[in-house]
Amino acid sequence: MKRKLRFILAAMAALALTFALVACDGDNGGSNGDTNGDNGDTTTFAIGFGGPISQGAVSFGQGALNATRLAVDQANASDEARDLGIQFRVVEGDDQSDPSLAPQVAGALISERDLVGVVGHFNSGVTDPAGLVYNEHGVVQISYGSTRPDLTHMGRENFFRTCATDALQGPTAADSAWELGFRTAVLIDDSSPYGEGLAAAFKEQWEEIGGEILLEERTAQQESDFAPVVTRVNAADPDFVFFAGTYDSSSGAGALFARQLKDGGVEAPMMGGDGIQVDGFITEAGPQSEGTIATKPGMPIEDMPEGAAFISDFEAEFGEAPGGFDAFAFDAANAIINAVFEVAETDGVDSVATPAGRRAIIEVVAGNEFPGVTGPVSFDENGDSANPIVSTFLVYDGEWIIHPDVPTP
Amino acid sequence: MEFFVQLLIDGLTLGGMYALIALGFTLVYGILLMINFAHAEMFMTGGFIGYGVLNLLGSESTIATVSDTLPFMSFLQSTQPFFTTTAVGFILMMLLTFGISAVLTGLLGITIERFAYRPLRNSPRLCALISALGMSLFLQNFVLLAVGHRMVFPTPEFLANLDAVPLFGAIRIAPIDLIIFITCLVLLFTLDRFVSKTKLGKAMRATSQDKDAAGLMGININSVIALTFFIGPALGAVAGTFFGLKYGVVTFNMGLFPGIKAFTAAVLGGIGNLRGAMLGGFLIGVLEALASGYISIAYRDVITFAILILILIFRPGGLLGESVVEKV
Repeated sequence: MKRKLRFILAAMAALALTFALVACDGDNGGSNGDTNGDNGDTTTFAIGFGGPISQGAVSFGQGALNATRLAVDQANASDEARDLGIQFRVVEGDDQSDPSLAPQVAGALISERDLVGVVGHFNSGVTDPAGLVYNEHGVVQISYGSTRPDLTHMGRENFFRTCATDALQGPTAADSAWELGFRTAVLIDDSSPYGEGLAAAFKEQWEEIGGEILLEERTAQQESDFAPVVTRVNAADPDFVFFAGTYDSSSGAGALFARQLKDGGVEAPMMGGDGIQVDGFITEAGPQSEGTIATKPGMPIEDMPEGAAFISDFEAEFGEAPGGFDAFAFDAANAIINAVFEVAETDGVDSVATPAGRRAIIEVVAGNEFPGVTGPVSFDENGDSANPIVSTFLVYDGEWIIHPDVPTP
Repeated sequence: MEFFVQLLIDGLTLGGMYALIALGFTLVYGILLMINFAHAEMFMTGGFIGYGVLNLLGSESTIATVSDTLPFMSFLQSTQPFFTTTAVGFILMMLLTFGISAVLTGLLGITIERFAYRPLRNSPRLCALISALGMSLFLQNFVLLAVGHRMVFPTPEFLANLDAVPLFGAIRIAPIDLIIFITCLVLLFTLDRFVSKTKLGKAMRATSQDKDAAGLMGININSVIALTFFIGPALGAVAGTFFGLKYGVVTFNMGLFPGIKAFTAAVLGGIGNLRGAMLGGFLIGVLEALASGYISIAYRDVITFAILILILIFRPGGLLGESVVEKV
């Protein structure tokens, strides 16, 4: 009774809040568009951003939103935009990592008449239901961080992603662990769509190459106490613990788990996927995060040809270094922006925000290739990144570094 | 055997926290026959206040920021090393943190009672219930907007440097777990003595039996109820601060699950019965630990609640609850 009542009330409040927020954003966006219009004969297009901004996996959302803004600002200042008379604005969709909010958030973005594409969402479980809405309206959607493999196999021709998937990340994690001399594992997932997918992909490869799984566990995402699991890990005494999940308890509990493993006296290192490869994980798990290993799609951006400029621009604008999946969001936004420029050039600016224009954008995104921050950006026939790379990282001295003992691909 | 004992320790620590929260539910129910749904938020608020006090006493950067705006607070700079590194300082800092958190949260509890529940005391019980739900949502969202959705709780240096206490074999207790367990026992014992031996405790028991009659006997009902609303939230705040210390993070919605578990513990032990809530808390904690240790953590809620249902089928009043004839 209590739970039900509370849930309904909470859902109602969340709904009201979302509407209020979306309404605010709409107002801001509108006034921006007007000022741009006054400057001359320009047309403004909206690029939607969907991701966790106020709650949920915010460290994967706020930075990516900033990266999208940066891409839009740079596009607005470009010669191409001036010649074509095009300006872009960003419309925020705050999904709070909550799949049940996805349809409303997506619906609010769709209601922008000048919407030309959506960057997002982050959580695989949110990307899926939100994608239904974009698909129905024929708007291109490029996810920057949803790594669940089957998202690109749902027959949605408008869906793309700039990051590699767990189908690649899981096996790479297994190979890296083997490379590091680990032979026995405890496998734990956080029962999120992302965690389950990653765990399954890891397990398949790990058993294929001869690794042993001593114990498989599944926790709830809202869990904060893992003491009994730690006790079981201690009893199993594995070479390492593979945690397939995200780092904060609103969408997983990686940091709490890492902390309790060390506090509980587990010597074996924890390993995870891109869900924990973020600075927030280190802040929250504290010194107990030292030695944690994680894989993440892409190369370190500072090693990429376009990376240095992106990092310095990002720092100059937002006062902090890009992290998480920000570079993937930047590339996703640019894929949409480039496609809009191309369609505007061939079919005229007025046709861009029409159904035919949106279809043309999807076709251009599917066929385009350009140098991005994370490497060459192009997509295969399913919409997956045609350039998937996964790197292995290590927490050393309170920072994520490329794992020195694992060769980079 | 070692495995079992280690699980038992895990469960008792968690159970201690459940028991502290459960007491708040049961105290209020015993006196007002009302489920205080906002109680889980007392736990959360307590955690956030504890977070603030601990930062104010122990974090150099926080002290620097505060002294910039409030110069008279700069004396904290000189006490900071004492609090974080020495044993006496650590104990003193813990006492201050828990004390301030408990008192402030207790006062918040009294305020809530005064403005959200007292005006509805003679209305149908459903009204107070809805008021409590509203209070809970208000507090959650207030903390979310005013402080943030998620705060990293500082670990005092002294505590971080303590080694786990070896018991026997491979069994070890983390220092924080030991502190939680002992503090819970002391608080539970003190509360039990307070209610059964002191005059105020007697007044509380009288009020819970019959408010009107107790009032006629010269007991100030309003102050007894206010006292109840001080003790419950204060205990919840202690649990909330322990939560932050143990898990290293406080979130605006952290009250939800411990709140549900503690409420279950209160029902399991017999709601309205103090010792029942204590027993229920420890029992739920141990059950959870054993269920997740021997079966799977994914099934622990299923098993815990299945046992709760079984117990309630055979003892509807809870383990220690008396079967009270409904007043007509």
